[in-house]
Amino acid sequence: MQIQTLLQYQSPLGVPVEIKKQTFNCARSAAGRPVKKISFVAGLHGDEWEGLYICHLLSRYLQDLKTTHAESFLGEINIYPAANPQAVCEGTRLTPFFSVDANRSFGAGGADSLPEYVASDLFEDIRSSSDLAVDIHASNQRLLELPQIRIVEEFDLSLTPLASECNVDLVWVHPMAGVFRSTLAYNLNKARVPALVVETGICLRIHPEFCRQVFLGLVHLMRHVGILKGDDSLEFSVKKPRVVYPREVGSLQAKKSGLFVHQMKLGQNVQEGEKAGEIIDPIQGRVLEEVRFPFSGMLFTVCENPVVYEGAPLARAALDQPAGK
Amino acid sequence: MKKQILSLTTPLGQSVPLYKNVWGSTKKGKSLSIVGGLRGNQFNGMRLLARLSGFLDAVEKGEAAGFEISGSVQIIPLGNLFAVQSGTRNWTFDNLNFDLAFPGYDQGEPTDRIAHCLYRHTFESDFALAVHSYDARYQELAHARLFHGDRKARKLADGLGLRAVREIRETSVSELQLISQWRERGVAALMLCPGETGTLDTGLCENLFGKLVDLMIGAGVLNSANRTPEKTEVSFYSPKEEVELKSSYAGLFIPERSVGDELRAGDKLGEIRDIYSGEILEEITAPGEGLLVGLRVYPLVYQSETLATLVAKKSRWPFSF
Ligand SMILES: [Zn+2]
Repeated sequence: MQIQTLLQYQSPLGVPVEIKKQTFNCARSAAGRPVKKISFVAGLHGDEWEGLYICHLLSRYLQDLKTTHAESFLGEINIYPAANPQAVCEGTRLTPFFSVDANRSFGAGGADSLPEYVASDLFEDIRSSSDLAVDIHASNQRLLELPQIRIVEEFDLSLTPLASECNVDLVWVHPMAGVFRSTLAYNLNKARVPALVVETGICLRIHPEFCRQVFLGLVHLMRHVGILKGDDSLEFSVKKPRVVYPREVGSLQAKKSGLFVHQMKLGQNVQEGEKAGEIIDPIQGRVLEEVRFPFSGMLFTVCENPVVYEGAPLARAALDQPAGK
Repeated sequence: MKKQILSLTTPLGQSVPLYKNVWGSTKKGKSLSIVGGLRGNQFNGMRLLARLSGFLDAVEKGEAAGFEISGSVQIIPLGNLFAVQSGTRNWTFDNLNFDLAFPGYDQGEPTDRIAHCLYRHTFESDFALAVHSYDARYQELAHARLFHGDRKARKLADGLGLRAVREIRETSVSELQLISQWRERGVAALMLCPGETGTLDTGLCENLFGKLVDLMIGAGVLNSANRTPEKTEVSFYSPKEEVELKSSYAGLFIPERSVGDELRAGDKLGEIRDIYSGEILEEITAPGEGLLVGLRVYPLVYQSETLATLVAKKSRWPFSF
């Protein structure tokens, strides 16, 4: 395994800020022959540590495999565990000092600021190191997510078969929106590098069981696409995810602002009309809204931060019946 | 007249209203919408729109001799309400860049709802201005911005009469901006950047107030018996007519010029010094003649950051960037 600094710039302290990647080669690529390449990216948002831990699990497994089963490597594996090192060190979503969202800085068509330069160089490095890429995210500070892969509709045909090999609970194929245009994965897909977006857990926390599930899924994905050969050191069964399209996703939103108190669990099957929780008024001591599910389905997102404003998402579910039926 | 157009409730039950000021009638003449306060720290924009609102109130009451409202004008002075209340650029609760929240969503969270409300109240106007300044770490020349090649917007910018108009190129995020949404709906739309973010310059605001009065007369929403709009030479700069000067070193940048300065090749703009030793690491000089429109005033800089932005008409360039 090699660790390379692909990009560095100096901070006012004179200390370099460095983006590093680990590369695992195989005998064929060491001999300079073309091989299939995969990249794993985490930490574009510095407060999403589930991805850093998944990269750690991958790295540890691959380092062991290199010593015990070197012949299992059939392609090149690149891991970018902390793609936004400054934000990771401060545990913030936005890049500190510049206050920009690194995953809204791609595809700008010209770099005006340091974060845009960094995005452009990082993009070029990932693009040239990948036949397939996986960008790992946790949710924001408010929503807890079951391990899932999200796909913009226009890439459904090419990505859904790959996403189905990743041991996640759910693959969510959703419509395009303007905000995706500046993301790493959208731009990789546009550049003909299939790129999957993993969403799992919640930011500022590590859920070891989710991370292990995704880690196994990514090992399976590498075996599936012929980058790793199966080996007896790690055997496991792979979950087939439920693939959902826009009409098969239900959303529960707050009708009032207040504190949301609930007992919902990820993966729970709920029925329409069942109580989800309450929104309370902490000043008056009143219940403002008795929140009930407007759908029947399996919960894959739940709201973890109790402070909610009207319109806030409280839960999302894979519906038992598509909406409008 | 001040009208409430949206009300949001906080988790502790407090209502927070969003207002617009309106004058004239949309049934006659042309319509102009002006939206400000897209960030919580744009004080020049807040002062400017308050000044303009006071003036239009006086016109409506017949207290501003010679002026008469001949179309309709609406001003939404504070868009990003919660950011204004928290005294920060973005609202700290969601940390979203409100400038990129459009067209918004009326069933969403507060930021989506406000964005949608601003859009819904303005997209049928003939003319629209977003008063918006950028990064508080830069001193900026008051100027107008529009998308490169937008002819309707160029005409409006001509009527505003600011000496520099920057024609910006579209990026992967620009469709989420309010002026982009307006343009989609056929509105002649501009961004007015009223100088530096995070500070208040009352002299500049007074000057810009005059420019907006001229723009309203030119747009046909305001009549004046005795005021003739001042004629200013307006220069439009395409993306290719801008150059950014970057730091080769990290350290303390000490500027020696101000925005608005006309520079010649070799003029010194400032220097970067080592924070520990004070030693000069780099002198920043103009690579050619040009107008200084942006200058770094926050002194700590990383390597490869923009320190200054110059614009120059191509015909005047003895150099190529
Ligand atoms: Zn993320």
